Amino acid sequence: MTLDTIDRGVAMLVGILCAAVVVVGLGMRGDAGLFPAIAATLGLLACIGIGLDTLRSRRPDELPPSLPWHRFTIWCLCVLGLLGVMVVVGTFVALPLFLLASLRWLGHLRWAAALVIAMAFSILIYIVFVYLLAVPLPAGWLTD
Amino acid sequence: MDVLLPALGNVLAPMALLTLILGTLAGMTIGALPGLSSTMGVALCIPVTFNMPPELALILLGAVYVSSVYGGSVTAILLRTPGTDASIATALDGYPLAEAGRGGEALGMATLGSLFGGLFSVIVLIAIAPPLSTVALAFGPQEYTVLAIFGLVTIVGVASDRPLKGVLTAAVGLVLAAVGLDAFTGVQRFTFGQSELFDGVPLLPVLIGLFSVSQAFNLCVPAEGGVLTGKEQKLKGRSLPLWHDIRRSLRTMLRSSVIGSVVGILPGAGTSIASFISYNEARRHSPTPERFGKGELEGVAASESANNAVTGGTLIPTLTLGIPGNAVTAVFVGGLTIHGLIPGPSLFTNHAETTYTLILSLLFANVLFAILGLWLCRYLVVVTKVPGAVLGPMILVFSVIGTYALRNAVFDVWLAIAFGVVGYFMERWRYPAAPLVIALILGPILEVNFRRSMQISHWDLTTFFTRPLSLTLCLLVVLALAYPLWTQWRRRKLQR
Repeated sequence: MTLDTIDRGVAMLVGILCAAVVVVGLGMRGDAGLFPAIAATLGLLACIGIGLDTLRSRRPDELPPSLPWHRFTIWCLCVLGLLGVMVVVGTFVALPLFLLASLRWLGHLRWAAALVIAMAFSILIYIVFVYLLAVPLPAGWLTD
Repeated sequence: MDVLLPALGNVLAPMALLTLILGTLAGMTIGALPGLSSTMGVALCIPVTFNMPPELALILLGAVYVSSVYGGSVTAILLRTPGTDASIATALDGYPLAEAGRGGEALGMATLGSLFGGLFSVIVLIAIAPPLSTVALAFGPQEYTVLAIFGLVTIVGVASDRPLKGVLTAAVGLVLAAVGLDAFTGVQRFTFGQSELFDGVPLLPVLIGLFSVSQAFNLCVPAEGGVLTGKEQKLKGRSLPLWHDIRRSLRTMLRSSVIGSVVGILPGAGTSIASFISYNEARRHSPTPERFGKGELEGVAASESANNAVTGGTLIPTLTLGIPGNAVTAVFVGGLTIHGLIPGPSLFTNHAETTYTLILSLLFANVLFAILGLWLCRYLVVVTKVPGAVLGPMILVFSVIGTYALRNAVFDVWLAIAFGVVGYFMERWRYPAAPLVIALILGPILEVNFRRSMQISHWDLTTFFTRPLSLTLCLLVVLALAYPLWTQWRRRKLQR
């Protein structure tokens, strides 16, 4: 998919959202919806402009940098896992697990190095945020 | 004077000095790492400052800002890989100097140039900001409306080589700014029943998402995990340039500092623009222009003086008018807000001591990065050997924990992650993030003041043209709209 194709897709999707905002905004009580309607109209015009620009573009169309889907998927799963485990089980179980998984599977570090870095960074986070800044981080099951 | 002395006392307090040192070291490290930006550095430091007194918080943020701009020169000179876009022009002459065994002189000149530019811009900030804040007291809703439009128009004009994409992201930012309870009618706008959105889309999770989380994605996802590009040059020879070279570069540093300060004041124009303009001007005025690009110390001085001079300049409209000029100062506004400091004239009246503490701390931060830079710069290169896939997870963890620390809300963390994904794809598909962020900040200012203007004038739009200040700002908006069109026309004419 070239950048022009992507731009057309983005313009269509965002254009539909902007049109929806305009319709909803104009239906709001008083002048509450005036500003969102104006902003969304501007967005809609920009989408139309981008769409037309891609159709009549004289520049050679380019390909975006290729996305390594395998690594992207692993990274997204690690991030989702971090958030899920953090809330359910607790921050200081989630953090070392996330760091260990991502350093091993994406950073390709050896297990020992990944474990040491994961534990050291988790301890640093504890010292900075819990001990020094007294931020109550999610403790999940560990408080029950 | 009755504010400066207490402010100086605040800066010289032991905790403040320690904060200054830590902020400077952190900023230099962040700046030296290619792929990490000043914006990201300041955004990540904001949650850390949450429980700090406002003075210490601003000292930390200011130190990270100015030293990260300098830090980019280290890798630009030694690796031909600018740590930040502010140092792209530095690499043009810095790396050839390093290849010729004069890397130490190049780093020394970069340090002196950055120090000169940074100090100059802080003096400009001290000189211009208070009178400008007095002028800003005369601003009414009409002036703030037009000023917000001016800020948006200029950032859109320079943010991207395709302005329509900038307009689109700015429009999205304006729509996001409208989310929440309407201040005038109490109507819920696009909250979808989420109580966390009643006060609007929280700014800091969006900033952390767009600039830090997206960067974590950039570091972890590519198959090539490292952040290095150029061949490392060992530091040899002198560690400072000769006095003769410093003396002949003084005029260049002064000219570049003026350029950087002026460029910094203009919304939208950033450090890279200032450094390239200064570099070109230095080459134009040099008796030996053919040496530029092959290892000319004046080229390094020009670039570094300009990019550090931008730092003080950008803070002028930010602190006096509440109009952030670039992404970094937009993040700065977020930092000010969470400490109860509303950017604008009140900073110089109700919070004068805190404001001057920030300004004076910038003077000290500039001196500190010069001292630490001359001593530690050769060791900073070591941090660039950390692969991106090792750095990325740490940045993500810091972003997640820092975002959660703001309001103890998991919703904010999800928001930051979502905007991180959006920011990642925006960068891949060349949609600029800066207009979105600036629109998110300027949107409420624009809407509230526009509606107030309409209420006062009974929906008479000529109210924006009948007030002298407002009319002047309208003319600036017209100029800002016309300038990109004029440069495009001129470029097409030259091509023919």
